[in-house]
Amino acid sequence: MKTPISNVTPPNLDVEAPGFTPDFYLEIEPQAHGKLLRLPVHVKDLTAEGVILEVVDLPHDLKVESLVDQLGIIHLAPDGFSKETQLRTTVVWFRQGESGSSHYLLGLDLKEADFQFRRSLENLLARPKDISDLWRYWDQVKSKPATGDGRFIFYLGAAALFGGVTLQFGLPDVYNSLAIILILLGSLVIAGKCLWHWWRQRSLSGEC
Amino acid sequence: MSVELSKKLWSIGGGKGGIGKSVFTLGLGISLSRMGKKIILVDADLGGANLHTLMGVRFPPCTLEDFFLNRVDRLEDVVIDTQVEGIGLICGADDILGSANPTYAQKVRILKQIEDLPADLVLLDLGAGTSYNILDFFNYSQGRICIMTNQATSLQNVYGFIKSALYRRITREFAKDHDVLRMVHQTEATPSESKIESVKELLLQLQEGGEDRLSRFSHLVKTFELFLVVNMVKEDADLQAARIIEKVCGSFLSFVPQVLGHISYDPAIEQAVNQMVPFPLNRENSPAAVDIKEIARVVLTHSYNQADQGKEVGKKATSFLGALQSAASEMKKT
Repeated sequence: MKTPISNVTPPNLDVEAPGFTPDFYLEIEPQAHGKLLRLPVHVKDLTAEGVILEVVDLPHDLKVESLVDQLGIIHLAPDGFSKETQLRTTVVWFRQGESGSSHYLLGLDLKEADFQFRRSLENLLARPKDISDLWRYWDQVKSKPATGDGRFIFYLGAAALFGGVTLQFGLPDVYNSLAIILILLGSLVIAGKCLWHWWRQRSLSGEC
Repeated sequence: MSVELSKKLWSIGGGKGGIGKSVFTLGLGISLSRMGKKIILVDADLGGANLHTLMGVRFPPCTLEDFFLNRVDRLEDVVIDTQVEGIGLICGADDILGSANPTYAQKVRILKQIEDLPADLVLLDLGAGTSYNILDFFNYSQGRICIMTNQATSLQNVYGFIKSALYRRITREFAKDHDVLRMVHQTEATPSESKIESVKELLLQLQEGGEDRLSRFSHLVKTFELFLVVNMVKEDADLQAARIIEKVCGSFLSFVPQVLGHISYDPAIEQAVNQMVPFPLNRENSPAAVDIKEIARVVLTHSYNQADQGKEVGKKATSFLGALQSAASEMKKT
């Protein structure tokens, strides 16, 4: 479940980073001084369940260790792809960067991000388009429901249909209504499953 | 019009190690020999040769090393007989005397003789990676097969392999054309610097450079035929990996590889490997053996072609060697 993001925002503590054009701002929940920390960040990389953000100018008076396990909000500019432009997440780890003492990498959890949000983050990465597409298709294929589940639904529909037909012809007329309901239900489930399968195939080849 | 085997030389690559290139090469060879064809398998996995082990040969009497070091004159002299009727084997060389990195002269010498081997079909088992030697052997072949699995790493490697092979072919063909080389190098630049991200974009840029160059380039891409085989398939969804490669190649490399078939995951293969019994010998009815047999049929169909097209392939091979030679002389100059 996604946690709703409150519209009431406490006073901000904007971190300045001259000469740095951020991909977006990462807001960290109010610190000891009660202010919301707004860090300008670059998307450095995406992992299976997280995102690595680069901070070039972390204030020296800020204890970076204190950011771990802190709640943060990723604010993306609307890119027409993801409906969500904000995601509440957690800082999982930090690491000192290679370009000076205020350069840091932060690892954030993306478990609650949907496919579109990840895609929006991915679009911010400077990556070869072909490799990006390769992984996008890969994610699509992997996000498909397991074949076993699909088969189960299909067999369920077939069982209902078969049961309905058996009732219709094998038992007294009082079971007629139940038989019709089962036949209808079974047919709908099978038709729905076939349509879903067709739509998924079409969606994959269309997107590809 | 006469019909003859126009694709004699087939290479089996795929970039990643451990995806079953050697097992597939062997299985394909055995299946084709069962169809009455004389086959020679060449272990071109230089430095990591083990096709002979899969064939049940522990101590090869001669290897490619003997050819590279001029102990024999003809490549044909290092072909050894095997326990499978109709199959000859050229064992790969170990890296002991630097045979894993043949010199340019050694490479040209082997390529010149490989097509004259006394066989209907010659199958080249390539090593992992995208080294120039591997790519040159792959590109030189008239039949090119990339083997892959449904693993993410294989997907990544096989695409990298295909892309490298195509770009290697382009740079070889246009070795003296600095404009084309510059544009190809632009595709390798970091995305922020690069303006060219696909073969289509390269073609658009080339439109400004004259009709002749453009048509040569288009022909090169158009004739870059490549086949895919998906190995270790456990369920239908595993085949999606090949679809992804088709789509990405279509979008960015302007050609679509053709799926030759798939090979089911089969524990019989591991048993055969450990028993050093050539697969699918004595296991002809196992699922993987049946799949390989089906692929062999398709390979044979593709190997037959009109004689005219065969001549065309011959011309292409000559042109490839010419390109190799001109590239080498260019390198000497620089």
